[in-house]
Formats: sequence, C-alpha cells, structure tokens
Amino acid sequence: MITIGFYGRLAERLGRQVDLDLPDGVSLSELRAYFDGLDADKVRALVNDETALDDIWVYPGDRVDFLPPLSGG
Amino acid sequence: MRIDARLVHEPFRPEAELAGFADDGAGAIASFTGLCRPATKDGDAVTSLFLDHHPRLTEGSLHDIAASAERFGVNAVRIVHRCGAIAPGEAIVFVAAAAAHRRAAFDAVDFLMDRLKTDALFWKREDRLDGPRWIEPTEADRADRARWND
Repeated sequence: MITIGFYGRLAERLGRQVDLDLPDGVSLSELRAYFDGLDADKVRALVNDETALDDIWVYPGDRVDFLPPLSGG
Repeated sequence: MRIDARLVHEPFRPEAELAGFADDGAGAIASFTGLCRPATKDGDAVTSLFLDHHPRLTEGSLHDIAASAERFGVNAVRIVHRCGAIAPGEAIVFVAAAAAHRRAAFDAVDFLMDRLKTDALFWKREDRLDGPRWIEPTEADRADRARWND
C-alpha cells in the first residue's frame, strides 16, 4: 500500500488518509492528477516526511503527505 | 540556548508554563499568551477553533522556530502550542524568552510570535454560526513576519 495523508481543507474534502494499492509504484505527478485540487503551486508534497519534487516515484510502504498552504498558529 | 517547544492536545495553563520557566542567571523573562477569541475581526461569533497538524512535523516546526531566537542572544525559550479543537477563552499559544536584559527577551518573544503566525505547520479552521472557514495568513501577518528579514 501507498499511504496518502491530507491536512486542513484537503482532509475535509478527500479524507485524512487514503491507502492505494499500486504494486508498481507511481509518480508524484500522477498522484496529484489522481486526486482533484492538488496543484503543485499551492499544495506541497512530502514523501516519508521529506519535501519531494513531482518527478519522484513512490512505492508500496511509502507515505505521501499533501500539505495545503499553511495557516500558521 | 535552552529550547523547550511542545505541541499539546489538551488545554494548558499559561501561568503554570510561566512559573515553570525559571532560568538561573536571567535578568529578564518576557512572555506572551495567545487566546482563542470569541469573535472574528468582523464581529462574527466563533464557536471553536480547530488547528489541524502533522503528527510528526508540526512539533518539529515549533522546535525550529524556537531555535531561530538564538539571534537575540537569549538564554532560553519556551513555546507551548495547542492543536485540535480549541474553545473561546482557551490558550492557543504560550511563548517565553529569558535573557540577561529586557530588550532581547521582548524582541525574541515578538519575533517568535510573528514566525509562529506564518511559519508554524498548522491549518486553522474557524467554526462560526454560519459554518466553518479555513484561514490563511493575512497580509498583516506576512508584513509582521517581514519586519525581521535581514
């Protein structure tokens, strides 16, 4: 499974966590396209808690977090 | 510099945080407490505030922000930040800095609050009578943060 985490308004719309069964892996840009409203200029992606660019490939066991713009504390 | 940065999921007592922030050798301790307001700046009632967070990285962002107060030469800083559902009147954030002299302590707390308002890893939702609304930093928040750019 690839685990996808959403936060803030994204979590409200897409759920807090989604598990995808993609045995061959997937690119971050394909994941963005799979869900709606994850534009790269607004929504930052993390792979296993590290900032990641869209051409990176993720595999089963990886965790991807999509972070909408921060609101601050 | 001693750093204590904590994310808390339950209500906390700012006065207890201040009382526990003694620093031997400090000549000055400044602190700030931010509370959940009962209304927006437009006067709409806020029934509660919800601060969403990342299970690992949010506390790390608090620690990084706390560490950035080193530039003021303070001895110690403390940040305590709530997450989850917060009721009006409850404390959202407590910040304190201890230094040899007052100016460094005042400046460090002012700086830390400006950074927390823009850079802390939170997503904030105001729950109002007319429905929920997600909040992003305002131009005023960004201008406050930019005051400290070198």
